Amino acid sequence: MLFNSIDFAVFLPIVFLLYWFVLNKNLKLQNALIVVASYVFYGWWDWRFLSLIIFSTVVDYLVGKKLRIEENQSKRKVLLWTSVIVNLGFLGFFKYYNFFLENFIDAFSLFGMQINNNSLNIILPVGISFYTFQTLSYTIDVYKRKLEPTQDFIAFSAFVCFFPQLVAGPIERATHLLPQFYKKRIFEYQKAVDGMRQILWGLFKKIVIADNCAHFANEIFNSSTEMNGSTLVLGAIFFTFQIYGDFSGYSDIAIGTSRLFGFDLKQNFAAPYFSRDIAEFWRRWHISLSTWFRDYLYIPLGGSWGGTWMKVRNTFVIFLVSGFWHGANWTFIIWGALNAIYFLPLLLTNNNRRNLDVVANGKLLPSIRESLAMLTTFTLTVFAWIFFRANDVEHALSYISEILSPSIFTNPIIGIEDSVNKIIILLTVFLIIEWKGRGNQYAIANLGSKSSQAIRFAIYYIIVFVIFWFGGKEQEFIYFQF
Amino acid sequence: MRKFLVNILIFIVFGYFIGEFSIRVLKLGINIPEMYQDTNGLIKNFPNQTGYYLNGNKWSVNKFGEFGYEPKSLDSLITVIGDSFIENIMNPNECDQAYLLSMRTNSYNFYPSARSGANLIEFMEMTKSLTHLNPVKQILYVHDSDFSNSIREIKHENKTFQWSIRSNNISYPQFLENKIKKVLYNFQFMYYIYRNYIISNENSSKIKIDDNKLNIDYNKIQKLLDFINKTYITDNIIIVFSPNSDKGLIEMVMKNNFQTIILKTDDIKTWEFPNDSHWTCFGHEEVAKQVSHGLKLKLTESNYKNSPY
Repeated sequence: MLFNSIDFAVFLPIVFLLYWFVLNKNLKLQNALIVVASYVFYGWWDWRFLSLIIFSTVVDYLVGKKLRIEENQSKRKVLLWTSVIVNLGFLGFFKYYNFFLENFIDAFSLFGMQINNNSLNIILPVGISFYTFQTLSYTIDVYKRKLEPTQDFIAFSAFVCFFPQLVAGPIERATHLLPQFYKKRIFEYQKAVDGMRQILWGLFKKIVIADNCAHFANEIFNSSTEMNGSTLVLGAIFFTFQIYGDFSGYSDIAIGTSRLFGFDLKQNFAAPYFSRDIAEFWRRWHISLSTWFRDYLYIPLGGSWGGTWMKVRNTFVIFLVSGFWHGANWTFIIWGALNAIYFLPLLLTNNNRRNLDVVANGKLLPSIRESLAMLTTFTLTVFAWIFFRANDVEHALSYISEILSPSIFTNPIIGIEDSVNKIIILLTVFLIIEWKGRGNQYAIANLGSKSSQAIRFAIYYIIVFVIFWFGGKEQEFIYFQF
Repeated sequence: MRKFLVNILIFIVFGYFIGEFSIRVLKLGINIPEMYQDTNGLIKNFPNQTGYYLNGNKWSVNKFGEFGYEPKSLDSLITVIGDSFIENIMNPNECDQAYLLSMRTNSYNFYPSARSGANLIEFMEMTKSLTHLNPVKQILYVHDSDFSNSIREIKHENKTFQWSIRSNNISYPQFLENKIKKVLYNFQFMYYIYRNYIISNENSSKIKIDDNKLNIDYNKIQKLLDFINKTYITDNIIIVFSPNSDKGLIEMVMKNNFQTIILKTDDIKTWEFPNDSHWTCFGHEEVAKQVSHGLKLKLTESNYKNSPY
């Protein structure tokens, strides 16, 4: 079920009313409703893959229970690895089987050995990368005794499959989300209103920004061989905003929806395109994933404690794995590597934690130095996104070589001028609002907060109007494929 | 909780009224014409009505109860018969097929007659109902699906005329003068959202899929053509095939002694709306060019045939 669909517009009020009016007296029933609603939400796409979620839930629940009573360290390790192998096994099979097979075949063919290609027609279950990491965080935290294993199977199931963030995050930690299922939820007016506002902003980002940019980005990337350099630059910029609007829009809707049910999810994006360096960008982009990799991969590998070599190795490992997490394609790995290369100079000069606060905090506009820093970071990011969006490495390289050709100095050649002007105006307005709200959880969190209800309603009506009037053609959320 | 629900309700209700008001003031809604079913089973519009289609496009029903162009005289008449493509409420009247043909063929008057969703057998019923006007020619604009949709044994339909191979009878369309439907059409904002955001994408993809996957049962269609030849006056009928029509179907129709005009274009998309396979004004003009050219040839042929020398 897509958040920007009529199905969800019907589904959400039904679940909301049942949750607060019918089952509000019983916490277990409320949790059970969340599990059922989440399975319906997921099964709407393909009910067959519910079995994977259920299996993963049962395995991790049982592993958690065993870890609770098991004191023998080697047996505890076996339990941990059972969970890791089951979860990563599913992920590896559904997401990476064909990739590894094809690359093995290519590698062996280099030595003159021919191997039959037994690639399978595998459907990638939506959200598998997200819920796998979420359940893994539970088992690892229980293993490390950071978290008391749960005795409540329904609460644990609800934690694994919580529908607002099941298919595209934010990837929650068990230490943060699971305890919320144990406590009675009390409806809070402000929290619910805030949730609705965040949903509205998420829909705006997805339908107005991402879907409109997608139209041009797809057109340009799909016919890149016929485009000149300046058009390809525009295509990369459109994709840069598409992926931000798409993914952060989804996160906003997920967080807002959770708030309607009394839950708090972690912030997943914090105005990343206003970052002054790549380190800051990665503290602001897909925060739930980057902190997951930091805590469960980077730190266990030794983090920044070792020597220079260790720092470089660990940085490359997390960026390459992060790239590979996004998809079984060399383009994602190169995208990860590029970000590692961007990041390394900051790390090696101990400047990676230089920009921790919000840019131009308390000021209307950034300084020239800040502006240049933001522009540089943005340019580097746009360049890296070319690999992320390209169909394969060859496509990315031909795309970049055309950008670097003299054709970059010619006029762009895309579509109908009116539509391009429309999206440029919308992007400008969007950036102004994002800039104004860059210090908030989401850009319009405080928009009109000091005004009367009538003014606030008027602002919301304008956003709704823009969504209806300027919304792009419905596209699936990009991160569903990861 | 109560405060939250009340505020949500106020927001939705007030927003709905703003939407309804805007749709009506900006004329963005769709007005549905008043209709009735005549004694021959044909569903017709009450004459002299006007209304709006999407994007403020005004439609009108002429004094004969037909959409769009009104012929200046009923002398030397040529009828222009079809479905929603000829009804053409998505375009201004200046792009009406009958109007465009009358601009190109001055010596004749063109009489439009169309109903959305009509099929070949309904077109034939329309030709029958217009014979009292003594038309010189009756032009039928068809798509491949109009043949199959006419046969009850291929696709059972209640909303159009259909011929049954088994019973050799024609069934009339069911006309539901649904009062609830009328009330619902008054919620123009809701209908606008439904039309623009729910069914528009579905329709555009469905039309293309239907056309692509159309399985043509030539045997049954031959039986349909036999029935048409026996039942209706077909001498003055010209069948206009839309571009990319099935070649086998065109050959079959020609073998059955129908006059035909086959529309051609290198890129059908240039004739269509972005999310709607109906023809744009440009598409209609291209069609009118080809049809008027074909029509002139047919009229000349007829003159020679009717010549006493």
